[in-house]
Amino acid sequence: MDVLPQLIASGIVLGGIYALVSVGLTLIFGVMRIVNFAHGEFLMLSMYLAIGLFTALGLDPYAGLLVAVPVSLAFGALVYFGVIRPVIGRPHVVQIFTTLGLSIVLQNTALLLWTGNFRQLRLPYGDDVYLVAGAAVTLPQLIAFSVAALFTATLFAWLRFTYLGKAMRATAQDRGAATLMGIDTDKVLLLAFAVGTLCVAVAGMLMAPLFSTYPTVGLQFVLIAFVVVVLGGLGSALGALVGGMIVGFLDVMGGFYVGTAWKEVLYFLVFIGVLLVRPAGLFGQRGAEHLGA
Amino acid sequence: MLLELEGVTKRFGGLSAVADVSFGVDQGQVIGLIGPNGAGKTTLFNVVAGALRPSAGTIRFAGQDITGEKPHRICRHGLCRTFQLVKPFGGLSVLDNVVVAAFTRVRERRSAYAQAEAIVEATGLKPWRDAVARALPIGLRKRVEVARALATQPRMILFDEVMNGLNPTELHEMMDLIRQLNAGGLTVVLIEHVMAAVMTLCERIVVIHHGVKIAEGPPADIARDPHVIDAYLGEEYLIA
Amino acid sequence: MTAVPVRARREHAVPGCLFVAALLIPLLTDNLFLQDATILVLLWAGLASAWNIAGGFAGQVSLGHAAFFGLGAYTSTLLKLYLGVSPWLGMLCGGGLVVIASGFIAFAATRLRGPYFTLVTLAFAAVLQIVAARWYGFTRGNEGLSIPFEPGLANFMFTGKLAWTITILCYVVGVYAIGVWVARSRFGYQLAGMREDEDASEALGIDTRRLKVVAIALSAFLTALGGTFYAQYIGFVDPGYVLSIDLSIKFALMCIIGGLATPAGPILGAVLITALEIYLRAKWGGARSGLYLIVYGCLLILVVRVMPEGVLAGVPSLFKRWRGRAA
Repeated sequence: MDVLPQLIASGIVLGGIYALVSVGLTLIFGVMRIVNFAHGEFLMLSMYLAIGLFTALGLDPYAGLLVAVPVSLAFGALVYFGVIRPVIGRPHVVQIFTTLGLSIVLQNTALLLWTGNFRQLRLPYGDDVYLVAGAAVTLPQLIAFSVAALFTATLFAWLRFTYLGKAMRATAQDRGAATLMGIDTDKVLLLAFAVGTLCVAVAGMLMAPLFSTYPTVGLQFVLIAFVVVVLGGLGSALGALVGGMIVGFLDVMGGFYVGTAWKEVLYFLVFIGVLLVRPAGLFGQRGAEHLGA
Repeated sequence: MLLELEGVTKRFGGLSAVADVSFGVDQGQVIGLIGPNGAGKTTLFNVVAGALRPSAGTIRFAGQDITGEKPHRICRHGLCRTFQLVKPFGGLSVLDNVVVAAFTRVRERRSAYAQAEAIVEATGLKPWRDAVARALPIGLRKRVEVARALATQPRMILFDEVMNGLNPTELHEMMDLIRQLNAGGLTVVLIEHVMAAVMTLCERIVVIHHGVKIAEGPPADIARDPHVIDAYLGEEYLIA
Repeated sequence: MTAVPVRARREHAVPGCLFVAALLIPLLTDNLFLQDATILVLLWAGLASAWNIAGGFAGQVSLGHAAFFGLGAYTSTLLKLYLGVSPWLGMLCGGGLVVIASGFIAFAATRLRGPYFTLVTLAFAAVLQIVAARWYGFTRGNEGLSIPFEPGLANFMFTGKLAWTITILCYVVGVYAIGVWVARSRFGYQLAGMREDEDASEALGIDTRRLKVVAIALSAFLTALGGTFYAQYIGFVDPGYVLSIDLSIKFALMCIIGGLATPAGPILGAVLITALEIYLRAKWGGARSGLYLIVYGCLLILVVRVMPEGVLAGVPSLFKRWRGRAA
């Protein structure tokens, strides 16, 4: 069938994007044990940023990344100090509702500022199509995947080889022990949240040319991010990558064979299934679901 | 034999935390379980108490096979345990902590409270009866842990490092308490690092090292046992 | 988070006032808006109290309770529309069905803790919502189901607000009474132990699995009853509302704001949240849509941080701290 290479290509592109969206979420959960229900809204904000930069300054979202990086890090730090830090270590209920509250605030701020209209960032070269192994891929898709792949690879390397990266992994595994080893866990938590925000912000900039932007766009993708993160294992960056690819394929194949609405049911069933059968996911810490935090 | 362990083994992946441990505890005895850090003592407790399933071996309590049973059922059989890192019901008062446990044996609120009051009195916790558990210092929290275990009307209690972190006064009080409880018919197994307590209280000691039982006998014999001394080389313990 | 036992007499004050006021309103005023608001406040109070049994007392934070609400609403409605079954009977059927469905959630609760469990409940409700929205032949999908207006006690349909008020009052008082019973009973104490420390309570002889199953089933059952009331009162059921995450969040929110694990907390929470919503929407809702939700969200973040034990316990303790500082 001729459509298979196309499906595969779409799956890969989508998978890479999903991985990038999810890696921030998993980082935040892995290091801070907080489920950031506002993660989708961070994505939404960065998509609006991309549109804003393009309409106001004519900046491509790819060039706009230079702006997005410092802005998202600053934003992440701000949110961390203002909203997240006061509830670290508090009961789950408190944390859940804090990030939920944040999500409500951000969604409605966007609604207020930019109305509920669907916006689309149309790049002049947005429809340029390239043939890759029998599949048609647009330039923005190609760039999105490449940047996502590059960024994720850099993140992995950073986590693996730098002191800060290792400090983060140590804190994720055992915060108490990390403190005893001389790691400033406060700074690590701040860093984790900022970097997590950065990841999703980059994803947003890459996605702006590919998807419609509207105040509740985050909801759609945060759901996917949760499925990816649970599948890959909460806290595992590698898991986010693998999970992202799997869900990307599921999305494309599911969308093609089953239709968009039932595709969502498919996600949820995978989600529930993984949680009940192997809550640690593919690469997560076994038994983490019993610890809860 | 109130408690019998036969060939109890617990493996985590390739590592044997507990390997083929067997010993018995008679009604009314005070038994000590000692060994260097990481020897597998708490893992053994976890297996006996039902928090972990053994990879092999059997555990019998009061003649019944309790191997692999869930903790709450084992507690109902009459075997209770305390935790090394105390787990009080932080938001509840000391009294309510004990009441919750009392409800395991009793269905009626009034009797649960009556029992709890008696136990709070008996364990010397009366002055802190209404204090919120999480606000208490470690010594008192340990005592709440003991009081709670008592409320389940156990025949035997497994104390996991209950003397840990206590100052000399608290230590003596805890030792007195355990002596009292034992005199009243309670069978006790103690995991301890505080040698003074173990040597004084226990009539028999089991020594575990790398998950294996390396010695068993009265305190005087254990203190002289070359295997035990060997195992403890490198760790500083005041034996006696 | 909160101490047991319930300081019985003083805590009944808040719900007591609400119940009395609620009964008086349809008797004393003709203001339809006020009457309607009263009925809805009572409904939310009952639903929040129902959630509290699983989420507050048992500590199983579910963000999928709309699943039970919706199932209750749909069951009685579908039975009525297709088989002409009386909604009262349909209500019980819905309750029964929901108890069975809750077994799934209870199973998840025994295997997962903290945010993992919450995520499963979210997914559960989401699946039901999608199924209801897509199964057009059965549920008419997003168009929803309308219940024809045929007043009569047997039809669970009334013309006057007073009758509705009395019905919902019976519901809330019932759920509240159950909450009070739970708080003071052996069941409630064991739940308290479980939510404080699950491992410790297991070691003390508490069968946590059984507790979770019972608490969740009871909570689900009571929620489903409320679902039927809603369906009958509003006369319209659609998946976009009765199975929505917004609803699930609302139940939990009222308990968190009012006070978890105390019977009066959800009642207070329902009053506060509904009053706040009405106020904010009136002040800021119309002209600039979304502004009131921003304020709402900010308040949520603040209250949850400053008074995690809820307003019922939080305000007196804040007050005490303040006075302590002044003295």
